[in-house]
Amino acid sequence: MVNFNKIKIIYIFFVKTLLRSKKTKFFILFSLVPLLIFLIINGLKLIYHDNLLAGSDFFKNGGMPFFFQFYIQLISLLFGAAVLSDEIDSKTLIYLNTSPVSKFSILSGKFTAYLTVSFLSFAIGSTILYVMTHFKGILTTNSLATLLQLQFAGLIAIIAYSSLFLMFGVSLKKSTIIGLVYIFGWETIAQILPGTAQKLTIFFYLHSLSPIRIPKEKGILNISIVQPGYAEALITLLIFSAIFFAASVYIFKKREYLLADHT
Amino acid sequence: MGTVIKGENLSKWYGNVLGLSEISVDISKGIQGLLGPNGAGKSTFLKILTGQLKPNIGEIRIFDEPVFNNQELFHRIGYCPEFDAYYREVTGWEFIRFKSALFGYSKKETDQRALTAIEKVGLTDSKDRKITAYSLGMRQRLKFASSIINDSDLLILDEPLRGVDPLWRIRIIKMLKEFEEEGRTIIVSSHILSEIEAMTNNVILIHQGKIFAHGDIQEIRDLIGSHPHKVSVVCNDARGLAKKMISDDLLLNIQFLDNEQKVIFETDKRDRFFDTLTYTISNSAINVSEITSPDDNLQSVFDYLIGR
Repeated sequence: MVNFNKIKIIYIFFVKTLLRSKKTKFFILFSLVPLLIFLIINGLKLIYHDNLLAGSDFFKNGGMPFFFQFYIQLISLLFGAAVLSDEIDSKTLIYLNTSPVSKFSILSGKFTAYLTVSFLSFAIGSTILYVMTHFKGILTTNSLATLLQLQFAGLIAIIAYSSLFLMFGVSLKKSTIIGLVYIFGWETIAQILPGTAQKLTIFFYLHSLSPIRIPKEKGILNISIVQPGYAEALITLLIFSAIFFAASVYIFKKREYLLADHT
Repeated sequence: MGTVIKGENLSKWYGNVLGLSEISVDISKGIQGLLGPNGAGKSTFLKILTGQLKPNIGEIRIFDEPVFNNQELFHRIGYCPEFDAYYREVTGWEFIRFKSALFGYSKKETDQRALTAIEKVGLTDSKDRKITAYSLGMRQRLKFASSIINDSDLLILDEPLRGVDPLWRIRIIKMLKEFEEEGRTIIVSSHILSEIEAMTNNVILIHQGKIFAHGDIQEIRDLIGSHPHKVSVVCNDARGLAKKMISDDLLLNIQFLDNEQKVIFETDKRDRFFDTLTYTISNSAINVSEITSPDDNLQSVFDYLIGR
């Protein structure tokens, strides 16, 4: 039986822990990099009396690729895989594994805590950038709706990527390296490959969720696959996430974790 | 007395490396010392005991239940790991309270148990400091506190006194003896004979993944007593000291080193030798600057016993 109270206890403890960590602080600051670039560019343009860069253009061509093709993947990898690898590296897993808490509850509590903090980091940077680049019309219904849709797309993307990297983290020793190969290898290559390889990437579905088009590479043969609809993409990503999470729990239950030299 | 832990033919390998080999144990209530040199297999045994590892062969049961993946069993078990492992971003209190909450107590009981545990190890005043600001001894006591929150029927302690100052060693040992009197079972591992000796007479000796001996600590003491010991003495008159010592029938061999500043005695009557040495030094004008006994550790006893 699932013990929601214990999941909550683990969740709160690790959200608190993560919010104090240097890694989280770094990622929150890092999410502000596009804003900084935007401000520098327009500051220079002001100095040299040049036409200012349109905020919406910068968000579409600079902000969207940064957040949806780099930041989300990176933060999901470094937080998703770390759900367990942090515990293994610091040998603190022992405290969880020798408590009367099911492995499912441990992983659920920790995973949701890491998701929360990852999303928070993304939301802070992307929201501030969106507001600053759409400053004039920010209070219109359309603009706010787009912002909400963006945040939702970001949340789903973080869930999907993090659950995949969680699975890597519970099953592989070099999960971060494998994750990097997946993000910057497979996800990039699959976009330009002919055939249906794109369907085996998370980005393919994520593309359909975003209210603002994410710039994409053209395929080798310039054959573009029809993008799935919003509902199809959403359901597919949620199913992927559920499968990855279930697999992670299964592996976590079955696997032995060597925390040191065992003699 | 009923069996608390029953292990049969436990074997564990790490690839080609043997961790444990066909260990069978039957442990009842009381304090059980687990003794062996570093790398003997004590930690492997304890990791199997706490469900962190699965034996390749054999089965272990605690309170007649299987251990691996049986998380409910930890309502009755307290475990203090050997690692100096801690969450870097939390205070001692937050950690202990978190561990307490994982037992599923009410909020009031969670706080009460956490507070009692932290009081027992003398960290009340520093409970709100980050664990990173604790000394090694304080972190060790905090770990120990985390293992006693639930007043468990079985307490498993892996090198619990490592890094703990002498005063707290005495207090922890006293606490363990009180737990024993309450009818609880305590497994304590150590590679230091005197630590175990202070807690219990009941020991299991592990060496190279096997149980070497199981029984009364006095038997181990006797084995050490008959084990040829080398004792090194650095003094201002090594030859004079040797002359006085040789008059007694204690020595197997004498060797002079460092321009006769150092003498190494070999004896098979360890206790008598030390009595005589103390007497000789205190009744002569010889100035001794160092006495060391490189053989006075478990590893050398094991090496002697297995005939290396």
